[in-house]
This record gives sequence, C-alpha cells and structure tokens, in this order.
Amino acid sequence: MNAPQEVPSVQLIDVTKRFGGAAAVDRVSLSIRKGEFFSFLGPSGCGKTTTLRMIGGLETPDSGNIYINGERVNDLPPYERDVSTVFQRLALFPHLTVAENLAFGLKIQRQSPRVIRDKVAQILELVHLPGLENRYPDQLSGGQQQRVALARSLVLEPAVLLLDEPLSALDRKLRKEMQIELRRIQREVGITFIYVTHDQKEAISMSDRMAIMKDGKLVQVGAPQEIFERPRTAFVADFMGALNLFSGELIEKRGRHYLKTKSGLVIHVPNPQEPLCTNGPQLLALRPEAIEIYPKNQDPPRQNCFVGKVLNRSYLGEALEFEVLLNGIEHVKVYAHGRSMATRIAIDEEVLVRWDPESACLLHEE
Amino acid sequence: MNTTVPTATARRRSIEQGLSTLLRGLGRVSPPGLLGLIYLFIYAPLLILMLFSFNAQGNLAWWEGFSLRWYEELLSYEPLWKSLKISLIVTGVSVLISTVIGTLTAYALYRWRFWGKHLFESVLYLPMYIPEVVLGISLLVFFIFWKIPRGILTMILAHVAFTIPLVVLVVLARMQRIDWTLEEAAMDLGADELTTLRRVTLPLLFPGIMAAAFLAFPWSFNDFVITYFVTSPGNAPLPVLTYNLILGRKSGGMGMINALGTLMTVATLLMPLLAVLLLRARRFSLPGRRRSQS
Amino acid sequence: MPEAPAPSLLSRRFMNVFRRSLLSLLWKHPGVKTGVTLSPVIFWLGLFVVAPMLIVLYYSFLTRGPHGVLLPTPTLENYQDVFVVENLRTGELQPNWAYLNAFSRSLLLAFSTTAICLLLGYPVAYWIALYGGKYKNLWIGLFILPFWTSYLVRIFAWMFLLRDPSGFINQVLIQAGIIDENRPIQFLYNTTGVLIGMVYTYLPFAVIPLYAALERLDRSLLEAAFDLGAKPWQRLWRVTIPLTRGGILSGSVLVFVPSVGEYLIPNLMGGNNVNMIGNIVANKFLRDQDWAYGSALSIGLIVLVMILLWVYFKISRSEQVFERRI
Repeated sequence: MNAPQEVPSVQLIDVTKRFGGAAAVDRVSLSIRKGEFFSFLGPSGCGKTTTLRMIGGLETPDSGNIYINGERVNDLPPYERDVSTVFQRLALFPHLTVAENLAFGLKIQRQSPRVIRDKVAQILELVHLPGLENRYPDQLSGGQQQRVALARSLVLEPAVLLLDEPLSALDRKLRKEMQIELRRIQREVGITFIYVTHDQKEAISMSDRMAIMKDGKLVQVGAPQEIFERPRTAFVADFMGALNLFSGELIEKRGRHYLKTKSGLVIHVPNPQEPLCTNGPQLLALRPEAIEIYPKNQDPPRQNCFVGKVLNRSYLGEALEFEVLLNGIEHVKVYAHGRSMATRIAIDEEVLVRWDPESACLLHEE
Repeated sequence: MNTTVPTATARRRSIEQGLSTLLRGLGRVSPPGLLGLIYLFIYAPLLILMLFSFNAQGNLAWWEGFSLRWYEELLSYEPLWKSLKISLIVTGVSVLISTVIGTLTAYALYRWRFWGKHLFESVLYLPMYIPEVVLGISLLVFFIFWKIPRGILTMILAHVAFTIPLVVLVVLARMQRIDWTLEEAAMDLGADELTTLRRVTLPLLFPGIMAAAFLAFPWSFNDFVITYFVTSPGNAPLPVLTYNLILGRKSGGMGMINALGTLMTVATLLMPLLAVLLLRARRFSLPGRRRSQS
Repeated sequence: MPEAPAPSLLSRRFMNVFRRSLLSLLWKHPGVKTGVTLSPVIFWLGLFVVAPMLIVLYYSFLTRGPHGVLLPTPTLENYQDVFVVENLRTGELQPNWAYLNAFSRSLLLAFSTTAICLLLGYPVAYWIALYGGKYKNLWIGLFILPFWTSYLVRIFAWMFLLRDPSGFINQVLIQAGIIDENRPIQFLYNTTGVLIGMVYTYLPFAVIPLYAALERLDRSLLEAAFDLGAKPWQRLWRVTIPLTRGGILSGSVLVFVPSVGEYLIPNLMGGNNVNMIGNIVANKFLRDQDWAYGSALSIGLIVLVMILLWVYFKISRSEQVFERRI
C-alpha cells in the first residue's frame, strides 16, 4: 500500500478543455500514483488523447489545474515539463539517424558526448535494438521504429511517460509482443506510464489501473478486474464486452434480490455489497460468455434458468454466438465454446439458458 | 413519319461512328504525332534562335554560313556586363530577402490562426494577380511621390514584393507534406521553440525553401515589366537591356540578341539540373512514405 | 578554486535568461508570436504593394490641370472619360471608342488565348497524365522547362520567326518559292502575332492545373465508363471532362487573368496596332504624362481582374463542394 502522504505522480483537478463550443475534456479529476501503469480507455473522440496532451503540455487546459509531482504545470511549455511522450505516429525525426534521434533530448540538456554515447548504448540495450544506431527511421521495421520512439523518450528518464496509442499501427501479432515488452520495460525502469488506447483488451492486460472516458468525462476509474467485473454504467458494461442488459425493477424476497423485467422474467441478481435503492428501474449487465446454453431436453440446474428460442447462430472461430429470444421480448447474446453440446443447437430450436447470479452485475447509474 | 425516324437515327449513328473512328485514329497516332507537334511549337522558336546565333548574317533568318561574330560582339559590348552585374545583384538580394520573409509568412499561415487571416491572404497574393503593368506603374508613381531615386534599391524593393507570394506558395506546399507531430516531439524532448525551429523545422523545410529560392530566382531575374518601370535608364538589368536592343536600331542588334538569348537559355536550362544535383548531394529522407494514421 | 566567471560565460548566462523569459512571454501570448513573424511581410507588402495602389487610387480622383499638373480637387471625371468623351465640335457626349475598343480587344484576346491554350493544353496534359508511364515527370518537366527562360528572349524568338520578309517562316516560304519575295505574309504587328505570342507564353499556365486534375483522376472511373459501353468520345465528353472541371477552371483563370492585363507582347509583337488596356495605361503615364487618367484606367483594370477572380472563387467554391462529393 502506498503511504497516504505520497505526492501523486500526476494529478488533474477539474480540468476542462474546449474546442470551439464543445468540451473535449469535461471537469476531469484524477490522480495517478508514482510508478503506476495507468490507461485511459475510450472510443475515439472521448477526450483521452486531449487529456494526455494536456499532461504533456501540448494543449493548455481552459480551466482546472494539472500537477506533476506536486508542481502546478499549467503554464509550463512542454520542454519544461518532466514528462515525455511516445506519439501515435511515432514522430521519429526522418532527417536524423537512430542514434541522433535518441541523443536529441540529451544534446539539448548539454550532456557530454561520452555520457550521451553511454546512455544511447544503454537504452538500445534496454529496448533490444543494439546495432541499429546509424540507420535512418525509414530503414526500420514498424516494430523497430516503435522501440526507437520508446527509447528516445525513456533515455531522458522522465518522471512520467505518456503513450498515445503507440501500438495502433502494428499488426496483431507484433502488438501482442510489444504489449509484453512495454510492461517489461515499465517494470525495469519504474517510471509512471500513462497509456491511451481504444482497445479494451490491451488496457486490461497492461494496466495497474485504468480510466474509462466518454464524451470528455471520466466514467469509471479502477483496477482492470474491478472495472471488468463491476462496471458502473451501461456504457462501461458495453465497452467491456458485457453486451446483455436487462432493465427492470428490483425486488427483495426472503433476503434475496431479484430483477423483474417488463417481460416478466424474474432474474436472480448478486447480493449487493452496498445498500441498494429499490425503487425505480435498474439495469443488470451480463457477459455473453457467462451464459450457459442447453438444448431443451437437457436438465441443467433449475435456478436462474430460462426458456428461449434461438434466432440466430454464427461461428466466431473460438466460440459460437447465439442470439436467443427470452419471453418473446428480451434478446440475449450467448457465446458458447465450440466443443460444448451447444454445437448441436440449430436456429429456431427451443433452448434453456442459465447463468450464475454472481456473474451478472447491477449497474449504478443510467 | 415512319421512314424519317430511322434515317435520322442512322445519320446520327454514322456521325457518331465517324467521330469515334476519327478519335480512335487520333488516339493511335497522337502520342508521337500531336504531342510532337506541340513540343515542336514549344521548342522550335528557341532552337531556331540558337541556331541562327551562329549565322554570319544577323538580321536575316537564312543560313549564310557559320560564324561566332555575334558572340564576339556581344561579349565585347560594355553595357552587357554592367547589366549582368545589376541583374545578379538585384536578383540575388531580392531572392535572399523574399525567401526569408516568405518562409516566415508561410509558417505563420500554416501553423497559426489569427485575426484577419482571410484579408491577409487576399492581400498577400495581390502581386500574383494584379496586372504587372499596373503594379509597375503604381510603384513608379509611389517612388516619384516619395522622391525616391529609381535604381538598384527600388528594383530590389519591387522584386522582393512580387516574389514573396511565390515563395509562400512553394513553402506552403512543402509544409503540407510534413508531419507536424515532429515539432511537438522536439518540444516534448526538451527543445524550446528556437531550438525546435533550428534542429527540426528548418531541416525538414529545407528542400521546400531551396525549391522556392530556385523558382524565385528566374522569376526575379527574367522579370521585365515591373523592372522596366522602377529602374532608371542608367541602371538597366539584363531584361531591360534586351528590350532596348530589340527596339533599338543598333546595327547587328538582332544577331547579338540571338547570341544573348542562346546564352541565357542555356544558362536557364542548366539551372534545374544544378538544383537536382545540389539536392541529391545531401540526404533528405522525408516522411513522404510515412503511414498516415489519423 | 573559485574564479570569477569569464565575461563570455556571464553574457551567455544573461542571454539564456533573456531567451527563457522571451520564450515564456511568447508561450503565454501567442498573438505576439504571430505578430513578430508576420511583421516583415506586412511591412513589405503594405509599403510596396498596397500603398502604391492607394496612391494610384488617390490620383485617379484628382482634377487634370494644364500641362499635366494635378489639382487636388476631387472629381469623377477621369472615370467618366474612360467611357465617354466630349465631341470637340458639337460638345455632345459620345462613347469613347478608343478606350472601349482597347477594353473589348483585351477581353477578346484574353478569351481567345484561354480557349486556344485549353484546346492545345488538354490533349498534352491528358496524354502525359494517362500514358506518360514512369516518364510522366520528365515529359511535364520538358514541357515547362522553356518557360523558365527569359520572357523577352521567348518573345524575341517568335519575332525572329514571324518577321517579314526576313523572318524564318517567310524566308523558308520564299526560298521554297511558295510565296513571292515582295509579298511576304505579315504575321507580326497585328492581332495574329499578339495571339501567337500570348498562347506561347501562357500555355504552361493552362497545362499545369489540367495535368494535376487529370493525374488525380481515378483511372477505374474511365475503365468503368468503358465497361458500361461508352465510346471513347462519349467517355471523354461525359466522364473525363466533367471530372476535370476544377482543373479546366483554374487553368482558364491562370491564363485569362494575366492575359487581360498583358503589356509586353502587344507592345513588341503588336507594334502599336494592337493596343490592349495595359499599353494604354503605360502610354498615359510614360508618353502623355496624364497621370490622373492613367490612374483611373489602372483602377479600372484592377477592378476588372477583381471581378473575374471573384466570379472564379464563387464558382470554385461550389466546385470544391462537388469535388469533395466525388
């Protein structure tokens, strides 16, 4: 556990940025701990990149304050901030060699040539790129360019490293590799990493904590597992892949909670950790892979089990996707493993679906 | 009724067929044929001029025998050297100034929004679309109004004014191909604005700036109309000298212009070659190939 | 051992402080940055383009006195004189044909030049853009190259070809016995000569935008047209030309605007028989010393060009909308 007095690495207080009339970033408050791998996750245009650029000093906030290591940096230009950015388009200087690119910031700090040479060699070692000093950026592969961009920022040993979707240009396999690399490097150097991405899997697999943004606002901040398992809003639930939503009223019977939908389904919901307000409509989110699907003649546990009809079935490779209609109204998406007995289920067939009440999640807002 | 309709259609069809046969025929012979004719139209006058600069008879366009006498006369013609010197001074200084000013202007136009930008742009390109005579005369009137003696200085003032828009256009074209994240990256790595300009922006813009200077050079060097109005008789740059020779009744003037034209044409045709060689000499791998991720 | 810093070090430190404070000032006030960057161009163009034109505008409202003296009484007479003139005998106002003719001649010549340049330029641009292959740049470069040579030398080269009877074309025809030595064809010092000179001078102004438009043209559209059964000329008329409207439009303006204010070509190749507005303006200032009148004519020419450009921008804006759609 962090000591309570520790100064946060980056702290945003009520930060707002408008472009024209619309707020790109709307009253965002957040603090990021030292040495943390923190991700901003959200669809394009949600304000995550703008937030990052404000931390880096490439945009100035219209209101609110930004602190880096406890120092207010609103009025500091980027070159006076102890942060460094890895850009989405990498921005390697095309007129300089790899070594010159890496030495760029060091030369500006007026380090001696010997120190520069040593540091460049060291950092190339760290990113596993020795021997490429004299190449020009356009003579490198995409993955190598990526590493050089990372190294160029890291060699300055900034307090915070900002990464703006740096892996988006890479193909899937290379991206996976680089994700692991990034984590390794972050552990080795111990610098705070702030990472922006629109890929939820990437954010979940890499981050210590993450923030979900929508329309310039923070929607939810927390550890990946916490967000994944307990999304607060329908947006987060949907974004994290909990594609099934039930809306209805909450009722309590003999210490257990149920959601009664308009179509008349009575769904067993997990026991809430905090007291729930029982009036008004409530939303329940459920991941498609948490649902089990059985042919009608099977006999699964009867608890939380419903009869439905298969409307559609498609093969996704690693799973089968079913669209099931419950009670004639509720559409439910179900992912079943390719090897289960679900493979025998055909369109229009009557099926049973059930799930563990604990795998569903009651949403707090919206 | 019934008989006229088919004939009309038939006639139209035969016209269409004829047209399309003609066009197809043209299309087949054209690349060597028509294109050749147009290139001939462009090059023939200059080639004939060059050929006849070696003619023994200057005023007649009929071959009277090979001779270098026009070159001898031209090169020993005292005013030529003075004019060449004036032209080189005026053009050299003007191109230098307008390249600097034009680059600054292009940078501001491309990078920043500011109040009155539209108005500014329409004034900026005025020298490109105001008729040259009008611009020349206005400057003449202006210099007389302020009692500024006409000469090399006034020529430079005018040349800078009308080459700036050209420089701005060329440099802007280059800027459109630059990845401006590079500037942000430099600042992010600790370079302040001036260092960024020197270490990143200028090196990236360099080919564009050079191209602008290379385009502005002949633009200024060859300008006649504006120059004619802002110079004094004693300070005739090369185009004004040529003009005086064309109009003048100097004996053998024709032959001398042929020779002068030949030399100037050869010099101009060598310029782009020189530019290419110069630019080849330094390595500038520029982000033309870079992925354009939004 | 403590040592007093060398003066150079001191001044360097001072420079650093100065630079830092200057840059932080610029960082906080972006307007200052813009102002500093743009001040040279504003100074230069303001002083040597805008101010001279304002002086001409001022002169155009002055009253002509005797012996070319200008009286500071404002009048619109100069402008009126462009259109009408007082008949010396009857005192009636009648159209000033000398200048109205020059205006209409300028417009007509500029129009013809534009039309011929487009007609000659389109096939060239078309063939280079579509069939130029990897030598495209070389071909277009060869096309533009002669136009970097001196404007005067190029005009003179044509005069050398066209003169009579000693010009090249007449000499060839005479020596070949096609025409009589005493009756050479007159090309120069008439409208034909001026037109040849203008077409030659402004051809690349048409070819460059046409080439750019044809280069951008999506080849698959042409293939689609063929695929849908269009004959070559239908394809040209219905697909290629409409899709390169933008290039045709800019080419027209780039040729028309300088042609209409042309001075040197009618001066040299028209020999005072084919005066355009530019020549009259120059004559008024240089020969007749009639500044007020010349200024009014200059302003008239500027207004004419402005109207043309205004129309062009109106059309090209809707054209851009069209191009964004395709």
